[in-house]
Amino acid sequence: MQVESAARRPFRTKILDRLTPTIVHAKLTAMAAMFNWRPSLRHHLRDEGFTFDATLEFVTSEGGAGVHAIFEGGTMHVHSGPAKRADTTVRFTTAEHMRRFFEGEDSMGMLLDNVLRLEGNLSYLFKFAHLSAVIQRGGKKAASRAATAEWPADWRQLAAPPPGERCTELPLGEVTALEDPFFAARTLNDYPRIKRQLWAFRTTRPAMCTERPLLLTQFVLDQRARGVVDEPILRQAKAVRHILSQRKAIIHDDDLLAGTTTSQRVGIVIFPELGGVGMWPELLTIPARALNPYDISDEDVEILDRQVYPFWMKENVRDWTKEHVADRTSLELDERFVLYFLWKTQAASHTVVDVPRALQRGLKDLQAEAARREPTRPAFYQALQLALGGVLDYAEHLAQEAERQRSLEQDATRREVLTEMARICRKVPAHPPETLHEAIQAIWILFLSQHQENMGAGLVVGRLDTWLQPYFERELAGVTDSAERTRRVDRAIELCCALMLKLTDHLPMVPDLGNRLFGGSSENQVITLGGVTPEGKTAVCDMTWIFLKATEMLRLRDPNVNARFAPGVNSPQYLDRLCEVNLLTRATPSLHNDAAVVPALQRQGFTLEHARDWTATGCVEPTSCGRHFGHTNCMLVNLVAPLEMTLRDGQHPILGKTSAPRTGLPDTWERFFQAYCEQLAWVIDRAVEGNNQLGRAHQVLKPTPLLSALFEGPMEKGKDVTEGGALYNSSGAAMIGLTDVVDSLCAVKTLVFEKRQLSLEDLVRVLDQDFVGHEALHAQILKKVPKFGQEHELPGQIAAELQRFVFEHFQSREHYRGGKYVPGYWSMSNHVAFGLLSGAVPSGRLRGKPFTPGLTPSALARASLTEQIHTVAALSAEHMPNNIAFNVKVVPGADDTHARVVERMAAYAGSYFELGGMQMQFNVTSTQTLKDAMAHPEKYGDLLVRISGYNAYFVELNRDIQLELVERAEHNLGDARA
Amino acid sequence: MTRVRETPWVVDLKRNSLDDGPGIRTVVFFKGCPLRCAWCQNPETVSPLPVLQRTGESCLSCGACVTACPRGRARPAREPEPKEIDCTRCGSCVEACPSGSRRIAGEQLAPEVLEQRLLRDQVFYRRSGGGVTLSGGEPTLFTEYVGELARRLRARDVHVLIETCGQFEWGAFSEHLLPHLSTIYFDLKLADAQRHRQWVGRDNTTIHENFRKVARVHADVLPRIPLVPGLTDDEDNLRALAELVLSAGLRRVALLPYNPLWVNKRRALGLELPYAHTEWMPKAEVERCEAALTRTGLAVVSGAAA
Repeated sequence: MQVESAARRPFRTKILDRLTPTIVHAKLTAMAAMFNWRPSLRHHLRDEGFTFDATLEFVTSEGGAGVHAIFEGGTMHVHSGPAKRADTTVRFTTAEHMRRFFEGEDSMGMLLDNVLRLEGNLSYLFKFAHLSAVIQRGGKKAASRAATAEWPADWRQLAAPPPGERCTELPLGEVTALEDPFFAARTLNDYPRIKRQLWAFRTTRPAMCTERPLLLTQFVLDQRARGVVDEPILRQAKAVRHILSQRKAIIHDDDLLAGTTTSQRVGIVIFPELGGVGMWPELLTIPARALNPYDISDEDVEILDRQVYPFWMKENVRDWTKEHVADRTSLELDERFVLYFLWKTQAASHTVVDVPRALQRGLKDLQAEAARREPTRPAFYQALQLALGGVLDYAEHLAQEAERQRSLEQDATRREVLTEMARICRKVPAHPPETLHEAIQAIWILFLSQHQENMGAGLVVGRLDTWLQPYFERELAGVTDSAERTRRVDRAIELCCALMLKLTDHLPMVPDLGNRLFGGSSENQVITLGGVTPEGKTAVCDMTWIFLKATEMLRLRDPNVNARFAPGVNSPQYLDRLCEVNLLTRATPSLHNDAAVVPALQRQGFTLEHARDWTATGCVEPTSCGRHFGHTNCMLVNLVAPLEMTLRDGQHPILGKTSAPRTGLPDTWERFFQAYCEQLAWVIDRAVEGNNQLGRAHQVLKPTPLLSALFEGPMEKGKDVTEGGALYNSSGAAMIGLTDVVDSLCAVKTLVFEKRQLSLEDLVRVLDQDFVGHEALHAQILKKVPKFGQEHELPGQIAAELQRFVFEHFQSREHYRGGKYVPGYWSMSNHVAFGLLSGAVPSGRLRGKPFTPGLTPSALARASLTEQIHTVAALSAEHMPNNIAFNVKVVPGADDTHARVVERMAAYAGSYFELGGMQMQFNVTSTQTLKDAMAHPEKYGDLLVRISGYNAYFVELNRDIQLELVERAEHNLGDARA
Repeated sequence: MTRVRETPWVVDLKRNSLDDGPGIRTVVFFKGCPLRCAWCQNPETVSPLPVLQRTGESCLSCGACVTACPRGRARPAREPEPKEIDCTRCGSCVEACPSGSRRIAGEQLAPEVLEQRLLRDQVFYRRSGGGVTLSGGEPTLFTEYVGELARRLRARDVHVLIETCGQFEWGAFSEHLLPHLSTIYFDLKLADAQRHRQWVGRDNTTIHENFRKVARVHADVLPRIPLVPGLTDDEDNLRALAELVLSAGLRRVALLPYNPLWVNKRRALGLELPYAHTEWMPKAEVERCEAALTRTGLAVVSGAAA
């Protein structure tokens, strides 16, 4: 650890340390005086319907007297020493950290750095941090930060990216209506309405939306006031219906599709019952923060601070669970960010509803079925009807809003659009759509409605190409006039673009801590294209190519477009086109191999038809559409931490003493590997326990009647999806840092146990010194020890053995709603965050450096791209059923033609798939360009990059992630000599 | 059944090469060359025997090599080594060097073993229109071995391209090697026999004769001209070489613009520099050479794309 021991600190600091409790006491007393005596501040402690009653204690790990503050009956009292009973204990590593905290350092940042530990309720700390901010800022909100990127002041000046090249040979059997499926003759300039909307999205600062949290809170308080006590599912159904039917129906000026996710143009959706309270400390400063600033009105600050947050401090999923479980070790470890990150504290989405069924039957019919079944389990089926009813109310309000706007509209064309919109919203999603426009409007209403119930973290849009193709075909059926056909195809492109832009109308709430953990990530609303149908035929169709055109023109980070490729079934032209769009957008779509993913799902018990009907979820994870509740990113697990623990007899350098097994200092390679597996199993077991605890909490606090109404399974079983109602159940993990562990194990085996060049103790000493003074050993590890990515037996063998262990261990764990745990290997951006909290490891990776992203060989291995592809493709897909992210950064040669580059990318991707690889994602941006973008962010507002499973705008990333992207191995696609 | 009489030393297999012929390729660098070009790009391949190669940039000057060398010759790669002590290529220093700054360049492999290694990337060759490039050194020095290797690869549908300096014995070449080659890259350097002797170390008669013959009997021959500033890039030389190409019935030529990286490689081997030019060739210069050749009626194509 970097922190100096108390004994070595200079004398002056020692005195300061001893005085710290006194200083803090004085500061807190001053604070208490303000809140207790200033009338304008008193409402913070006692407000209408709310009194802040809590005891917070502040102590250091080193011992020494602490301070505690008691909030009671609307006043604040400060006392010396530890509290008799604290609701929240804030434990600082040293007295210095305690001082820094009270000087205003960001508490969440300190939590992430592990210089502050928390026991008990986290929301109380959020509240306290807000109180401090109120004092420090005099209650004033910070001014808005200027935008990083520069955009033209007029939408017409927005540059339209160049299109691809015309397809020379039409793909057989995949295109029925399109003359050139590559649409080489079309650019954004051909769709002015879409261009205006894209410009609006680019130039609009996201703003916090308080509509949903306020409606929810008012509803809950009202129910309580009236003494209504319902079964959880019924309570939630009433809540979601209340939100849906009370929220404002909004149609923006230019909209083709009615409805918005929030009441802001680009709105932040807030879930106070999940992680929403986490924004409290930043309420006054969000407009000014460096990364992802949000606007917030003074009124909305007031709403959140006084009408929303106070009521969720104990009843949000995280704090409620901590209070209700017998052993909260696993959840407290989660709050230290070192071993794992549990997503259920924020969301349980990462799933996809049965859209085809909802379209084919209409919600009215689903409601009728629930009504028929009501006698068997009344509360449950009433809940389904209510939730669906909320959606129907909202659709009706949209129709009314369209009519209202039409009555005021002067422009005849727009009036026509609004008339049509009103007609459509009266028809869908209540009844089955018949036209493409109706189907897309129905999908949009269904999707935005899910956001009123569940936080959008990986809510999937779905396999839009195959789902929409029948409607598209109907549009063109019988139309022979070529100009009319072209007009209808253009209309289809415009509608798809409109839907994709609708998906940008909201963002998940990201506290600044999230900027460090998940930099630049939005919701990851997946659209999956291509692959095969449940019957095994090609699923690539006209609509696939239309969505690819939309993807190419819009270059959005979200929706996250994923493409399935089925070798031997999908055409080679389709693969070429995927690569072309990836080249033109630089980072999307990501590419998946049906031949690897489908069997991996079958092995998990999916029927062949259901395995073939998969969509990517969140980043890359496969979910069988509409019938599989697979919270596919319930946990991100650090694989390197158990290695650090293995080297230190079970003690992690940052965490210190835990209940991890003491595995001693193993004296043979076999024992070392065994010890690593034991430590890893302990970490996995903790994460699984935490997830199970949170999962059970969701069953009580947050059943999801709307999801259940739209799923295959719950209707039949009479059970909510959170209870195991779906046809298939699983939970997915992301394992992070496999390459770093494999390379480290290779070094340990070779140097310590084979060559016996140094002892394990020596190695640990070297690591503690971050290799300083051990340059020769460092060089030897980097240059002469085999690494993952090189075609060497050892790393391949270790990786395979490790993956088998991880797979079998996960599969053997108990799951709270039936089903299995499945591991995958991608990392979002947590390879950077976890890396920051890790010391040097035997692979030669230095302290604090990022791990390798996803499942990608380290740049230190300096392996050629063909070697890397062989290595990754050789891993067993069966052992990674939650999929992988293989990151490949490629750069076209200066003199390469467009066609040449596309051909090369397709050759690599096609070869990788033929060798059995699961997933691959190209970043087509040179290191040079990335560096330039760091220096001149204003010029690179639309520079899209793929992190490890998701896309982001490079200039919105934190510096650590930017550097990680810069340092990735770069592969030339063209003649390096040219 | 192999027909190998002598097994050449292979210096390096360069996988995922995009610079030496069409598509994704693996390049085999054989050791040994009958020419002594003053600007040789791969000086480590000139001698037919293994050599010790050192890389100064990565050397830590830790002295592990000095301790390991049984003959007291080894010095850290940043320093020169005493010429008066012979290196026996025993490999002790290579083993000892922690930073990988030393290697013995050269490995002998049976053709079937080499074939297997090359087939490793077959899927990439097939999907990219790539294959295997035989280079060096000079692969035609080992007509039987290389011919056997090429035959095996062609039997597996692998595109085989050879890069040759043209200095070979026609009989053996046409019997063992020629039938198994998909594409031939044939380097032409200096038209003037006297200057050729001076800078390349040999007469150009055989080379030019072989060039005419091979152009007559093989359908896919691409002549390449290395552009070496002050030596091969003058108008007269280019025009004379163009005449040779045109008279052999070919219409295309590729240019290899000067690349100064060889200078350090040669220094690392402890060799002298008979010619030194440490700058990359400016684009304008390359364009001037292209224009000169285009004027003669030749089409200038890319060496990687052809």
